[in-house]
Amino acid sequence: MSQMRQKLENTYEAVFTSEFPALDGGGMAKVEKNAARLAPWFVGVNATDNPAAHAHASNTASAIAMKMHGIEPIMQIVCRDKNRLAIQADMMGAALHGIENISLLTGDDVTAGDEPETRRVFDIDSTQAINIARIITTGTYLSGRAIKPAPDFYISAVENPAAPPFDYRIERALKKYRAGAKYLQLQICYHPDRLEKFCAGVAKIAPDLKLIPTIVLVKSAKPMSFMNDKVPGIDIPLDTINRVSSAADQTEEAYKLTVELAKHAMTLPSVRGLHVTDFRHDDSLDRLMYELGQKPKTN
Amino acid sequence: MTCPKTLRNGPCGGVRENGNCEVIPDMQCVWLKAYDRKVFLPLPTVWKEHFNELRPPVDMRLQGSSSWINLVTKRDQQTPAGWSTTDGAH
Repeated sequence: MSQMRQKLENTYEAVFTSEFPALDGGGMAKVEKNAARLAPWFVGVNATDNPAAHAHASNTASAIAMKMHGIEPIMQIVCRDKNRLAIQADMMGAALHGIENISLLTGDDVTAGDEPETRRVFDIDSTQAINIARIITTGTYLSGRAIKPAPDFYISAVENPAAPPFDYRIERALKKYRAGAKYLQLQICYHPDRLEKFCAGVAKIAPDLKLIPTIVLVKSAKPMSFMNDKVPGIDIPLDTINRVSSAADQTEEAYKLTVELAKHAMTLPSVRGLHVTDFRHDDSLDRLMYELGQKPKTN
Repeated sequence: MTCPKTLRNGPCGGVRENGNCEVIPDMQCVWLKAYDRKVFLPLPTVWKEHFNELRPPVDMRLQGSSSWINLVTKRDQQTPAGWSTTDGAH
């Protein structure tokens, strides 16, 4: 049983997840280095699938490499680059290597990447992909062809609690839960009020669905402005950006903001942990985790 | 169906703060438009509930054929043999 499933389904422990840096070169040495940094803190780490529509080492290959280095992968599969055959092949490839956690996403559009001229696939959407993963766990492909024995996935998805239409985001979370998702990792959110409404709404209509909001470690206001201006679906209030940009010590103020957002998120209903995106790569990850009451794993 | 990502089950996470599309920034998200209509128009409840049904993958063999004929003949309701949902919608 995956640790993600074990901890989320059988305990009340806070579950922290992160994202494995996309792999382009440097072989296993690179994997080992990143694994050593993440292993002490995270139950599961996302193996991304061409994040932001940029090509990298594949989701399945990265997930296998992470597993070899003691990191439990949450293998993402996005709908942008692969049709339903390829997506089912990803799922079965994951199962072949004992990868249990899979996360199904729509994926950023190709226009977000460095090859915007490519064909966008979107043969199926994320909710259909979740449902297909669930169908596979019942012992058939989408075609009805039998799979014996059926793989046992621990299925998750993502949702953006802070993008319009706000009320519908809650219904969409329920839709993903019904399709088969057991927990949702949430998009970066700098609107505590929106996150609060989303979590309360989900807790009401899908009480068994677990939520893992995302927080971001940044060093200054610059990456915040970048996210606000360049990443569709992420909005950061001007006051929040100004708070960091006008501080005497931007690095410290950005850190303080992250701690505040993290502590707030952890008080919300249905929230079972946090997803930590680290754009700083300094000692602040350790500092944050200690401040949130976590202790590093020693094994 | 003018969603550039051809999504069938609601809006993606890339809807902009002003409600516009991630891919075509000048266009309102079609799902936002549909949701507003669902909420504000006096539709029968049964139609409103359709909005949250899990819609199956599209049969690409129907591309270019008449959606009206496919509706009448129920050809558009055929799903892959393995498709099932937990909410009993299909």
